[in-house]
Amino acid sequence: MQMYSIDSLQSALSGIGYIADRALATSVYLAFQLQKPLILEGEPGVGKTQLARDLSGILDARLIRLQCFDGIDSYTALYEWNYPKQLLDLKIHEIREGNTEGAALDIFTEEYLLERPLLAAIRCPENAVPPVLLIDEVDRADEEFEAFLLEVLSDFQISIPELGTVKAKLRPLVLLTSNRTRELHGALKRRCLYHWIDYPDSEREIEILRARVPGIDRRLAACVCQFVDSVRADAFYKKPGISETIDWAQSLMALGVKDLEPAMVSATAGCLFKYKKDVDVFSVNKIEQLLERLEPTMGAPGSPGD
Amino acid sequence: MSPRVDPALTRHLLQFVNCLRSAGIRVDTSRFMDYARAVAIVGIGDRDVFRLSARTTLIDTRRDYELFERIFESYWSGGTDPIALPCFIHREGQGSPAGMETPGTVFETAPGEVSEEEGFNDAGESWSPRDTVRRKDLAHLSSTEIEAAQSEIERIARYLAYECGRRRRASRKMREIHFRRLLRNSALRPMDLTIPYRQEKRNRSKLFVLCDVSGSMDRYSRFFLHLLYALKTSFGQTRVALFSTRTVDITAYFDRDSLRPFLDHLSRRVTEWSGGTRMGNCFLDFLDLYGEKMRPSSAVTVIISDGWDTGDADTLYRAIITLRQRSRKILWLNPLLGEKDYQPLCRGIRTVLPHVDYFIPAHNVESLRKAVIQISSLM
Repeated sequence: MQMYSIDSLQSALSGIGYIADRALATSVYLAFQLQKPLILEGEPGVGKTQLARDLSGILDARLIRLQCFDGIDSYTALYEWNYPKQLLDLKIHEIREGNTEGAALDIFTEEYLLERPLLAAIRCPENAVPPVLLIDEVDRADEEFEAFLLEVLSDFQISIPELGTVKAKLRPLVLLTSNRTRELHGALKRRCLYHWIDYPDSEREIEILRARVPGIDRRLAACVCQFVDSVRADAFYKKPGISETIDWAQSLMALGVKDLEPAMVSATAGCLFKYKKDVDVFSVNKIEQLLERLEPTMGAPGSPGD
Repeated sequence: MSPRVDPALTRHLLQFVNCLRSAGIRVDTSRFMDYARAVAIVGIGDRDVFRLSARTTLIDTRRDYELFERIFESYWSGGTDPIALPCFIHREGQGSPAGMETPGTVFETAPGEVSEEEGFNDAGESWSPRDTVRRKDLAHLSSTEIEAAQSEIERIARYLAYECGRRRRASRKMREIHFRRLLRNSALRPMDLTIPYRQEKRNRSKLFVLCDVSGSMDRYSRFFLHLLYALKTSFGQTRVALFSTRTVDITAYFDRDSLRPFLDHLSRRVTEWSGGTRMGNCFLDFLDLYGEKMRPSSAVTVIISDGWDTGDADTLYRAIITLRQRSRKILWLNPLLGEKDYQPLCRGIRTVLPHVDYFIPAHNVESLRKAVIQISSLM
């Protein structure tokens, strides 16, 4: 698929099951056209990583994923030499050649190079489609790593002292995701476009459910999405994301549930909440309160269907 | 060849960007250029797309989205003046604070209170005047004793500054061998026998302090402020905010050269020292200010308060949960813990206590010293 327009991108994504709103499609389209990285910020579970996967699907491009963590350094992201292999080969070479001044073994060649995600993205062959480079949870890395990323993302060129300079022939489409546990450095943000992905409203979430959970009852989907919407408006330690909604809908379908009843909702609370303190707050009283907030035509047990 | 924008339109785009700038949104030249290129690509036919392309190229934080929308609407529809950003965070629906006390009282010395204690404790042993000052509750100090207490506090801070420096120099922990450098050295310089080591990264914790200055904390506030002022050199990155019904960020005031100008400046700028405390709202305001700078691996949060809260309990619960998520450790310094029969019964304390790592008394100089040592052990 070629990215001809925002609308074609949006429909291609919904074809694969990713229901993006126009704002997100615009940001991705512009990131592609302007050849700039895109920072996607949002609560955990809103579909930032999934977007990268689905984009690589529709563009028929390779997905290269760099998962950031606290303490990640440039070597983990770029490349590393295979030290054990180098030491071993040096030793073997030494034994074979004896103690004479034989030809030295060159231990800095392609054979000993461990290619990590960023180098893989830079070395993508020219005749291929530009890859999608996903730098996931960049807020978990530290500021030094951000400075290093900045350098790489501006030129897409790195120099390996032993091998020489490697320059990217194709600029990948770069997506950086952040759960907003901290603010990213201004210099990095300036280099990138920005998009905040919010939780979807119930209409869009219904569409997502129907795309991801084929065969789901229309009314159940509507009840589930409205209920999750009101849960998100409440004060919980960790609000359920879209994947939690999908899991819950699948569980309810598997149990043959047609209407949301407090007992059933309480029994399946584990799909929505992953922290004990939230499950404790999610008592039967609370569930009844939340169910009451749903529209009168849905959710109430025994009410007429659609 | 990238498409170009009509010069007249570029002028309009620049004017719009200037409106954003005057409202406090930072847009540098490279972002403006991205914006112009984006407009050249998407055109101006679709208003929605035009707005979204401006948002994605010019705005780099979700907090500015609402302001951007308002300015966009007002600029591209009517050309009215942009709305200026409020310079002080204010929670909606709080109402006006109960009573406005004059700020001066916090910083003036208390009227002379003759000490009832003769300098003998229960066992009949005599205490030196310095011991008396150290152990006496800060709220009950006489005007002469206040000065002595303040110099004790300064002594604590100086000792701590020395300790912190010494700790870094003296540490001789086992270090790791730097294999990467070792191999490279052996390949490049085979005769070099020195083994390179990897140094451990120093723990760069950041301190975030929330100090209650409401009516009930009146007698203690000046000492805490004095302590914080004295500690700023030891603890490097420190952010301090005062709260009662609102939160006021006073980090910038710590740049004053000495204590007196610092306190004077504070008393002029911070004009609310009123009665009740709305801890939940104030903590949320604090998170708005500093939440993004607080990282769970390095933030140490200190709350100095007696726990009397007149605000909403749900808000407080939400706020303390978020603070907990963002901090490595939370310490609560409570002047009331000095009283023998004190039980943490009030609702504010009870909501917060389960999420606090250290609940420490802070009623006299001695307890402040211990609190400071506790804080420094975490930094």
